[in-house]
Amino acid sequence: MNRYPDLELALRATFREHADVASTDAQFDAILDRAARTPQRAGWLAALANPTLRGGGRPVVPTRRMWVFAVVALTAGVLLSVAYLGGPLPMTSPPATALPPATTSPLATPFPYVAGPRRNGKILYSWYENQVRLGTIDPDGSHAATLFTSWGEGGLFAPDGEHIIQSGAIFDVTGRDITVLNLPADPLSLTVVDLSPDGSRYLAYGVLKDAVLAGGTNEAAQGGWYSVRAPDGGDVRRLALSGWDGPARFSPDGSTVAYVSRDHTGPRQLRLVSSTGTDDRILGSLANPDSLDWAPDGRSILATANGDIYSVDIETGVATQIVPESGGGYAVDGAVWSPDGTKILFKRRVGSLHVYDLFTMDASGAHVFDVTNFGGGLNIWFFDWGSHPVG
Amino acid sequence: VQRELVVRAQGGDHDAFARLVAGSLGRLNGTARLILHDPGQAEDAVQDALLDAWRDLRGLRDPDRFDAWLNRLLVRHCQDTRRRIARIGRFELREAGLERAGEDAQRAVALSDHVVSGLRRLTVDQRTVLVLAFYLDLPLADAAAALGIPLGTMKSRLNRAVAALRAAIEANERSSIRSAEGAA
Repeated sequence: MNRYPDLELALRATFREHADVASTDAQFDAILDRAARTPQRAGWLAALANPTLRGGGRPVVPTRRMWVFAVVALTAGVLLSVAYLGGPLPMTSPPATALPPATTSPLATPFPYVAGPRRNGKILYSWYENQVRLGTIDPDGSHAATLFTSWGEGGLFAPDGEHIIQSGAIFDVTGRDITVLNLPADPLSLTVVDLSPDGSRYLAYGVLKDAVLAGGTNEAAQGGWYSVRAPDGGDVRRLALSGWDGPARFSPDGSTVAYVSRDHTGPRQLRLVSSTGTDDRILGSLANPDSLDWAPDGRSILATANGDIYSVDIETGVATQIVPESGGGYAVDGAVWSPDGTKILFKRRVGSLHVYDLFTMDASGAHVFDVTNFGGGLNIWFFDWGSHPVG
Repeated sequence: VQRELVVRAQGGDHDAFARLVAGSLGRLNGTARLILHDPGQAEDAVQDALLDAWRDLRGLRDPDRFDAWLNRLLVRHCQDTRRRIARIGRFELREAGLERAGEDAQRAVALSDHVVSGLRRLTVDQRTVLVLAFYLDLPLADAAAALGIPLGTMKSRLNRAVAALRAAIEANERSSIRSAEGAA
């Protein structure tokens, strides 16, 4: 740190000057209200469910016994894999393909990646391993491939099921053939999270950056969900105000947007709004959802909340929990439907902090299968398996 | 006093937990807002971290480590907040800092202004490292524990974050100079 004495001083001064430590009664009350409705875990269960607690927050130092156990388990695993699978279990990858410069041509009109073959059936996911990597894998756990080193945090299959939209650009599966999405010219700062099924609109969270920097309220900052014409970025329409740029998705027919709203005075809630910005309404009473995905038939929404999976009926708002029949103990962190609506893909922790595998199961919770069973888990960030049924 | 409150809260005492929340809410808000640069997301991260703290408090073996443990829960939720959601593109339609740069070109811009602009260009992970080290002033070992990484990794991440900030500041300075030349 001594190499940067001036910068260090400036950083400390900047943090002191700009740190906003204000809190409101509403925030305080909301925390205590949620705590009052949440039972405490028994000590052993809390430590088991959250290894960060072991040792009072200090990293766990492996004992000799733990090392011996790890070596024996590893050896047994390798022998088993050789005996039954004909070779070691595959780790992710061919080597990552280097990204060419992102100075390629602007997107042509109209959006070209809608028509095409049906979705290829692969699962797209990203994980952090020194840098963010993007890969695909078949639902049966075969053909794991690293596509390329990624620029951004998320990504989705384009509606054609062959291209990938991420970080304001469209890639082919090799990470080449980059087409940069056109940027709208407007005072909003927009983060695009979805593309309508017909490819005609982006769904984006927008804020007026100047208002945010000035400490403006959500209303003043216009924080909310916007529909933006693709590919040219014109015709920006606000669909709904929302204090959270959480999950949001177009319905399979493109008529409705489901999103999660945030309210200082209560839990986060599922909401629906038409794709023209009318009929904004709360859907059911599922508290604090943190991911959502439309069922391919558009009749229900798959959501995860507080580590569990629910299917929320669009007509009634009733949330029905779906419990994986095996592998309980760790919380689920996000779930999506398969393109044909017969399977659910979900992410669940399998080890220490930020170590996950992807699993599939039937809609009933039966037949849980570890898709990314490479031994040891990955720091998986996001995944997609067909938000846009095609054809 | 805090140790006593933690022990009472571990026994299910809501009033004790309320006092712990009151004592740490400002620090947690400040930390999360600096890391996430989004007031709404920061409040969510703080709320979720404190709810985790309440639920799993009985698993905390050493009550004296409550603050360090809370930092770790908050950092985890800040990181998860950004990683949970698939973002496929970010359009920065008008860079407010660049707009102001033209107006400000006639006067010297303080380093701290460039630091603010530079911080906006960093990733959440990079800002997290800097906030832990230079806002919370955590010893590197405690910052490493908050992130759940080895001490050596923490040191290298801190070096990279500082280097990234320096590069971002230099890029901002170049933009300011170009804007000033354009205005002239």
